[in-house]
Amino acid sequence: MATIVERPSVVRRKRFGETYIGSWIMTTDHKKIGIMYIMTGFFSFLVGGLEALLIRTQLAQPNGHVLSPEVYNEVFTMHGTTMIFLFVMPMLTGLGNYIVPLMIGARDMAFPRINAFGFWLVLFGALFLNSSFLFIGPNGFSAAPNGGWFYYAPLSEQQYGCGVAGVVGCVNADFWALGILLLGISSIASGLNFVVTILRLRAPGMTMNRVPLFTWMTLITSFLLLFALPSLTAAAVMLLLDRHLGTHFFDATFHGDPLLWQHLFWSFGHPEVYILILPAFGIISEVLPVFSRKPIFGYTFIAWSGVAIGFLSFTVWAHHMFAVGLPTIAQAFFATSTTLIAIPTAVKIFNWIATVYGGKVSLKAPMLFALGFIAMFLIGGINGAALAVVPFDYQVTDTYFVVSHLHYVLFGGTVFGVFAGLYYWFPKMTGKLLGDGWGQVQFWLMLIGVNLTFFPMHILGILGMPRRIYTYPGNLGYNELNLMATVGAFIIALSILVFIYNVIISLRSGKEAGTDPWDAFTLEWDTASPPKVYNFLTIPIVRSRRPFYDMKNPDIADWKTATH
Amino acid sequence: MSEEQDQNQVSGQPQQTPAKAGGSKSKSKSKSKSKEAQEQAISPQQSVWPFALAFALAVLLIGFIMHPIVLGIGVVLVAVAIIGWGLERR
Amino acid sequence: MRMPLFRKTKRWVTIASAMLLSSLLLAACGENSPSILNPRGPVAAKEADLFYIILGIATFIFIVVEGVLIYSIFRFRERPNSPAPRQIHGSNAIEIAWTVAPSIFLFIVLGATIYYMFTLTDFDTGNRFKVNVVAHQWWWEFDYMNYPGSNGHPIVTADTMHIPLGATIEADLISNNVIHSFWVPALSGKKDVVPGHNNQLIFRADAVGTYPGECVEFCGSQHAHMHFDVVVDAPDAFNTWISMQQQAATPQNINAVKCTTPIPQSDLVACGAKFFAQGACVGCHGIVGVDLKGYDDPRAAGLIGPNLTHFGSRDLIAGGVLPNTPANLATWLSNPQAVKPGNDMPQLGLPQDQINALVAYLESLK
Repeated sequence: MATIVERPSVVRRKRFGETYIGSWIMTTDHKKIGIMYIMTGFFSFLVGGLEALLIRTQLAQPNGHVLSPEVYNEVFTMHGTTMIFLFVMPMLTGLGNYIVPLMIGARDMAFPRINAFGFWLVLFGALFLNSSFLFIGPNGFSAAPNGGWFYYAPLSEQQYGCGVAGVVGCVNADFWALGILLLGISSIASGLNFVVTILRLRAPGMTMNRVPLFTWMTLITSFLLLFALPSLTAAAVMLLLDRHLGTHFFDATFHGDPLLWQHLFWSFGHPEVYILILPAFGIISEVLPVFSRKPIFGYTFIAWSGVAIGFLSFTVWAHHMFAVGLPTIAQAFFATSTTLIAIPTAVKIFNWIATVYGGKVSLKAPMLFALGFIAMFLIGGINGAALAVVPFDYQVTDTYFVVSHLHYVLFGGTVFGVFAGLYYWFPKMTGKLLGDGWGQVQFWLMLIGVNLTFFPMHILGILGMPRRIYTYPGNLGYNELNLMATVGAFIIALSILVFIYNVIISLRSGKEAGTDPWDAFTLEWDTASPPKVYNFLTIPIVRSRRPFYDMKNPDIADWKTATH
Repeated sequence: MSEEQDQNQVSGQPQQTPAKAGGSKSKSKSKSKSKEAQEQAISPQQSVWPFALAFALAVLLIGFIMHPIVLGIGVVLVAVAIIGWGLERR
Repeated sequence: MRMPLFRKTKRWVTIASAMLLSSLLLAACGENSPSILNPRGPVAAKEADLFYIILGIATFIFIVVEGVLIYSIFRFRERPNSPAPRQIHGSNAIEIAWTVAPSIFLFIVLGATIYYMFTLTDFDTGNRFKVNVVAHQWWWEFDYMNYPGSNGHPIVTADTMHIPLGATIEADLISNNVIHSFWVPALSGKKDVVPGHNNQLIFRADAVGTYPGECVEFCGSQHAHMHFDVVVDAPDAFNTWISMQQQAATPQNINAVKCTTPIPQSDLVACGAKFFAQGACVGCHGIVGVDLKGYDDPRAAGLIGPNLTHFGSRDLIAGGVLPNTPANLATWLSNPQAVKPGNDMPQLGLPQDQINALVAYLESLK
């Protein structure tokens, strides 16, 4: 055993990459990039959340005067755009970035520089989009995007996007289209990186049949990113051409077609919602087994359901367009494809419940959020299936019924999944446990808040309240339900404050987590907390779906008892 | 000694055959280098070009909104960043 | 350990049903709401039936699945002495069962959906009453092109759409600006008004009454204030309405009145006519018999505001934002931008007596 003699280094100035800031700006380490994605995503969550609170404050009472219509339209547009492109996508990319290489026993992503590039694009995209609030346009209002997050044409083209006839030179829609372009490049880059990483950098013995489900879902999501984003990018470019170079793709006056925008947008938009949910499905599929002390039930079926959802997601897009006047036979096709996609989703829910059933259920914070996910996502799935009943959709599409559906799946689903993942992996990333007591408080506040906010919206839709209206008359029976929703929104805000407080005190004086606080099953737990820069000193050899469980329990290891 | 210490740091639980099996080969070459150098050898290197290219693209897009001059600067910056990225020694 | 009130699963069932029931009650409470559950025509009635079917199925699935979830959580909660659970990885038989069963069920629902889609307008005899519904930013125009006795002359009105009871209505949806959506929940599901497309909505009204309608596709800053209503008239009342609308506005003797402040009560209507005809109003609005020879006067095509010929007979004004009362009209005329910021009607700076005269005149146009 030789002793190591360290030669003293030459005294010199730190290179930029060795300073604290420089180490973040120049990093290509997936863990640091993951942290930056998560921080940017979370900050955007707060911005989008503030926008939501503004909306709910304006709508708390009839004939509200909190926001003018122009400002309201910017706020609801930016709420949607921020939450989807600047919160959920970066957050899920960040969790995936941090965890997937660790889960598959790799040292980093396949393309470390592209990884960093993808992140910086998100940061600059976020700054770019939000800077629009500071530009004042010729109509006296800010230039923030104001046409809805899906920016239908020809409103997007009208008078350069101000939405007010006679005013020229507004750039709201330009900010939106350019921001989307920037973010689209990031998504495509990160999708590419994940696909190559997952297909090529797995540890020896880790066949696709043994890859953890979070990784599987991230893989499918990455394929969706690669195939769906180009549709949006093309549409955004066509919009910019129409607005500035005299083309007429979406302008009916010159034989263009506004519906072309919708088809292109939703060809992106529908796979996009699966991009937003599949990684959360993956997180749940990791948390439920660990906190039930048994393997995920039906791994193969969950994985293949994910693949089926991925393929089918490209066949359902016009279910967002049932009221636009498509031929009935075409609508019937999309009703059919939408029904089909409900089947793998239902199968997943049953498998998750079967994982809990017969287990030894520990109700720590990650598990609470995972269980809450199932309960809430089920509601979103049911009201989504209701929307597939086309004649019923004719009545409730474009109303608050749809707002209820999308928030149950995105908040009740994805956001609960995100918090499950954050509570689960925070100890791995920081070495400290997130306080479980405060986690419980946050969970219950959030569960109550989500239901109080979004359940009444089912009723509002049925009572005829349209979407995207900045106010409503006081004699239509909407008042109490809107007030209820506003109260719920503030309860959600409180729960987020609890979370932020929890993070701060846990980082300062939280319990030491050690390397494996949850007695988990997958490889990312077989590292230091936080992992060393190189992740694994020696790449492990994998013999089953639960390699770390096998290492800890060699007598009852999966590779001895199960065949996969 | 350092090798086993590292393994115990990396994996909290005692594990025997599976981890060591892949271990022995990769360690023999690097015994002579310092620990820092060993870690550097298997970690991805830093690079400023991803940040630079992202920034350049953002300038390009702002140029669309603001002024053609900014657009022109953006184009130049993007070209520089792409070339810098491509020529970087990895 | 026994729970104090109800046992675990029963408690949740009770809560769930209570929520659902109260939602139904709340829904019924919205008597003034443009609710989809107060159908007054066959299309809306079928769509409402579908809602009740969906509600039943949804309640059942919700109770069963959430029930199993909640049961699993409570029954298998970790306790100090609970053993390590059996490491079950799955079961092909169960997977097949719970894939096939929901699939069959979903396809039955799909079958019903498609059946309803294709039979939604079964009542359509081909003998349709046509109305052109023209969507503007941000008001609704209704053109009657082919009514009995039209002789090729249309009737143009705004904000309130009269239709005959029991007739098959064909609403031809037209926009030359942005996408809007035409929705009268009591009568039918919506259909978007898309520039460049010939969308039609076929429906029928089976009860006399007034039903609220709204624009339901985001169309710019005043999308929230683009209402209208549909008045369903019995056949006689409808014919009366048509004949009234066909007539030009009663001419007023605008040259014989003195319209300086204070305007005598007896001259108010005539002065209003004078201010209309000689002021800024005719730049954007048309009245048949005043600045238009007929509804299809070529001059009408260039006017951006609603036709006001029988303004006094309408329920709603200003793109459906306000009920048609003298007070509301006065508010609108004095400050249209305060009522509906961003709309096309400019601030005219009218003095109060001109407003009073205009109100008297416009409300006289029955």
